[in-house]
Amino acid sequence: MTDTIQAIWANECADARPLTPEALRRRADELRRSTLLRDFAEYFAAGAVIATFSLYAIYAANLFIAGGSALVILGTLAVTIGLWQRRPSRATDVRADTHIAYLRAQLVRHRDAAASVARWYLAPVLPGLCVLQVGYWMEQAPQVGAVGATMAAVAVVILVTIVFSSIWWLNRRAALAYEQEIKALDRAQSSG
Amino acid sequence: MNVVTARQDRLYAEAMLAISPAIRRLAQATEANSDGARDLEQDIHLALWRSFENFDGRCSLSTWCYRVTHNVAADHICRARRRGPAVSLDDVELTDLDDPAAMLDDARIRAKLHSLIQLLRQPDRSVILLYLEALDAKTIAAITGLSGANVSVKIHRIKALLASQFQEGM
Repeated sequence: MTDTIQAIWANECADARPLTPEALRRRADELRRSTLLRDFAEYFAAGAVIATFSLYAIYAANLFIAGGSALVILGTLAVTIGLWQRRPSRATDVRADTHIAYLRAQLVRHRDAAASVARWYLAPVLPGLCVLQVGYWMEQAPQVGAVGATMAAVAVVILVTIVFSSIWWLNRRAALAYEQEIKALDRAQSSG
Repeated sequence: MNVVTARQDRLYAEAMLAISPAIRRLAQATEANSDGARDLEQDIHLALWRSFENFDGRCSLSTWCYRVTHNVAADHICRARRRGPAVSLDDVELTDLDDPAAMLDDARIRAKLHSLIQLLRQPDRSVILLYLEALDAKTIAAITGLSGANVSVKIHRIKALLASQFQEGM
């Protein structure tokens, strides 16, 4: 019976043909464009952050805002370098590894990136944000009073904490899920 | 045309004679959407052509091609963020699939096979795809990196699963 199933399976797509050299080149160009677009979007966002905080630094009302902006710029550069280092390998022979080895390597890469997000994605910008908040407090206190400025600062801190905690928690969950998949793969390889 | 490109073209032409239909079958089984399946098929062809730059005879050309094919498909699934409830061959329940109809034509059999394949987690998904391509356990082991004994156990499970699901319609 399974011979029949295999025959039914093999009968499908029997007319499939390889791509012509022109079609291969076209596909390569499409992939290159979509990769460039994705990379551009990431680095454009980083560029926008750097440009914005450069203006803050230049026209800052006080040294804390200027210093905090500079630290945010440095942090953004660190995050950008981290993204660059964690981009997928473009090595053409990696994909010829055995399926298990390739799968495991990809899962480990994703797990490690997600598990370390606090260190390479969130932490670099935190010092700048903290110094900036001090600068904004100093700027607002004379206008709205110390209590008002403090309440505003607390609100911002709470908001940033929620956002950063959510990012950390979601990536932590993803890392655990990847770890489960790695363990399942290791079990599949060692059983039998 | 330089020597490297000429070699890539030669290896690609040689390999595709045998594997082009298998690539399309895998793409259609992996990706339910027809446009997505076509994109995946083209990505696999491109990845294979590029990979031949580094083909060094560490394995047979066929094994190399199947490895690249299945690895590209795995990337595609990962990018598509398909994190539905994937199960192993040992855990798939008969109720996970549609109720077997009394009579199944070839198209419905293939559709049921696609449903089963899309339900499975890796590497079981690759094992069943390679089994359906009538590859033997030793070849499947070389492609997947699983042990021969492990592959034999999985093939036994696949045969039992196919027999229980398709017996009625054959």
